Amino acid sequence: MSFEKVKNTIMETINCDEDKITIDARLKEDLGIDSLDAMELSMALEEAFGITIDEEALKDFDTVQKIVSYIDEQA
Amino acid sequence: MFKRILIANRGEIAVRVIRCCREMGIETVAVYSEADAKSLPVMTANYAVCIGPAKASESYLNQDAILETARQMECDAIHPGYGFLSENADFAEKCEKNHIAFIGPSSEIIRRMGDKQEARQLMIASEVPVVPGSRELIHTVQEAEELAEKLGYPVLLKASAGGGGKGMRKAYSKEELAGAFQTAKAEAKAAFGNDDMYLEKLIVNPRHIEFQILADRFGNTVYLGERDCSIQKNNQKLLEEAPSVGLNESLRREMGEVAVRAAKAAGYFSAGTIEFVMDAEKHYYFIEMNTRIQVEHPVTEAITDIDLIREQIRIAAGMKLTMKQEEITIRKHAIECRINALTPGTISFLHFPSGYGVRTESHVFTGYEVSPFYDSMIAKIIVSGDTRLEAVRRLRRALEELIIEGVKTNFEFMHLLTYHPAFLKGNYNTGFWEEHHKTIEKWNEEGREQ
Amino acid sequence: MEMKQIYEIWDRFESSSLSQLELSMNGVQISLKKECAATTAAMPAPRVESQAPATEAKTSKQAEQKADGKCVKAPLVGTFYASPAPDAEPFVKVGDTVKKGDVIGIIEAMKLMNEVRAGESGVVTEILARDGGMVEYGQPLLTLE
Repeated sequence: MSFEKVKNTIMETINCDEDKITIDARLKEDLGIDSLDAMELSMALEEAFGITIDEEALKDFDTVQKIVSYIDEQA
Repeated sequence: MFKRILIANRGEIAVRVIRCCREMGIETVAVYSEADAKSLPVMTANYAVCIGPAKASESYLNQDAILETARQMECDAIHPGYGFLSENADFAEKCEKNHIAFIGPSSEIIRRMGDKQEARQLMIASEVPVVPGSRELIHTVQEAEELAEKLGYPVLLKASAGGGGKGMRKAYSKEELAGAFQTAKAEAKAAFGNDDMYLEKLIVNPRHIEFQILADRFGNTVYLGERDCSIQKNNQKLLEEAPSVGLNESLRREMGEVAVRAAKAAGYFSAGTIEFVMDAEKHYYFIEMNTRIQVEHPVTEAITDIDLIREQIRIAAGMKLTMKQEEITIRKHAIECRINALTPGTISFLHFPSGYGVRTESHVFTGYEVSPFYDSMIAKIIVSGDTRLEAVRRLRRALEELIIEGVKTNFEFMHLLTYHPAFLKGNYNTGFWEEHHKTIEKWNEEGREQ
Repeated sequence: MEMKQIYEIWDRFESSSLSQLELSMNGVQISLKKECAATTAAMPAPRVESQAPATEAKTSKQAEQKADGKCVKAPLVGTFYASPAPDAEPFVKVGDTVKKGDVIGIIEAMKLMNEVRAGESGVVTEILARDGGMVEYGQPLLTLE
């Protein structure tokens, strides 16, 4: 489960406090991530996990859970 | 090592070389035109000699004036910088004849790599992939049609003496080919007095990837990673970054080794750049070799911690490379943003950004008069970070700090460019400017209205 | 009086042998001055300083040496020789009168001897360049009155 690393990446990139980042937190509504943050978060995740996130996958990232499962599939 | 080097250039690259020489304990002679009398190179070099009026052909391109100054001032080497005489084989030859070291490859190598067709043949012979196209010249429309059929459209018709986009025409179908062939041939005849044509596969909106190489005179040749220069406006680079998002580790090693092979095939020494185009499927093709230091060399310095100007000088002085290929590791991500003046004029106030990971290369200062005679680039801002995102955020911060009053520049446009999704995603190509500049300019106007 | 006419007047002044021109026509006052005639070299690109209404054309913007009087400048970089041969008489001495086009010295560059001619007539008041010394482009060689 790469939740821990995803959480740290989100915290570093979006600079929101740790306890808000739960597995089922919604990116937009709960973490206040706008489209620019989403783009930059995907860049940071790509570099942190050494993967590429294609455009379509990025579109339906709406919760932390979706990110973690996408990354677990890739790893 | 050299005692005194003449810098046959102006602007930021002259300042760059003077600084490097100062640190190496080498005296410098700056040559300048009347228009550059009050410029940083003239003020910072050990000696400065006026060699001609503003017009470049009578000053910075005036080979005899430069050589005479080098002789009079007893210089043992000349650094040509980029542009001007840096890839002029005759000038390099005259330096050799006058026993003045030309900081770059030999005149023979410059001549050979300067002839596009000859360079192409050399690469084919050394199994360096070149853009599929005609081996020999194409004389008739009929020959062109046959080859275009084989290669598959679109194709590019190119004058062998061509350059700067002249004597070139694209053809997307058989119907267009005859017309394109005739116009390109006529244009080449008019522009270069030589209408030899050849035909190539047209790579649509490729990525522009170039590899920096360093080679000494003892056969040691290394590559220092690549630079992605795809963001260009009318063939003028605006922003360059290293490494390129388009390459992974194995493709980097493969292309790096091809670049070294190409350089060795040319018997190259000094600093040089091998230019490739890369299509969407990551096929790459040799385009040309630049036998000089390039404007964007600082991004390579930022990711490898190697001073390329110092290496150029050491190599020209007959010294060996100090690093082996295995020792060169890419540790950072770097981006260079070029700041161009959009109007000539006097800079009434100037403040450059600095701080962690920010390097500014420039020749301008408060009170400097940006002259209309030469290139419009007045500064380069190079940022580096552990990751690409860190570098992008650092570039935004740096551009927000930049203040240049008295001259209009492109810095707002470049600042907004760093927010564009296509740039952030990083999978952009040479079509980036064409495709996105309108959106960015719209943001710029909206920004101004607020 | 639009810019086009001003350019014409200026061009004609440029190619005339006048070194000064004062002109005022329907409300526009023009004063053109050739600060110091550069000898054989082509006139450096003139720069129009745009201050309405009077336009003052500076023919050559020499950075430091603001030579006020007339002078003969080096048209290229090289070694200045005041006389045709090492032991020969110098071309000109202080006090000599020179006519426009007279040879006042030689500049050697890349083994070529280039004669330097006076751009206008006058009496030599001072010889600034050292015989056998290096001169840079635009450097005043001697002053005339």
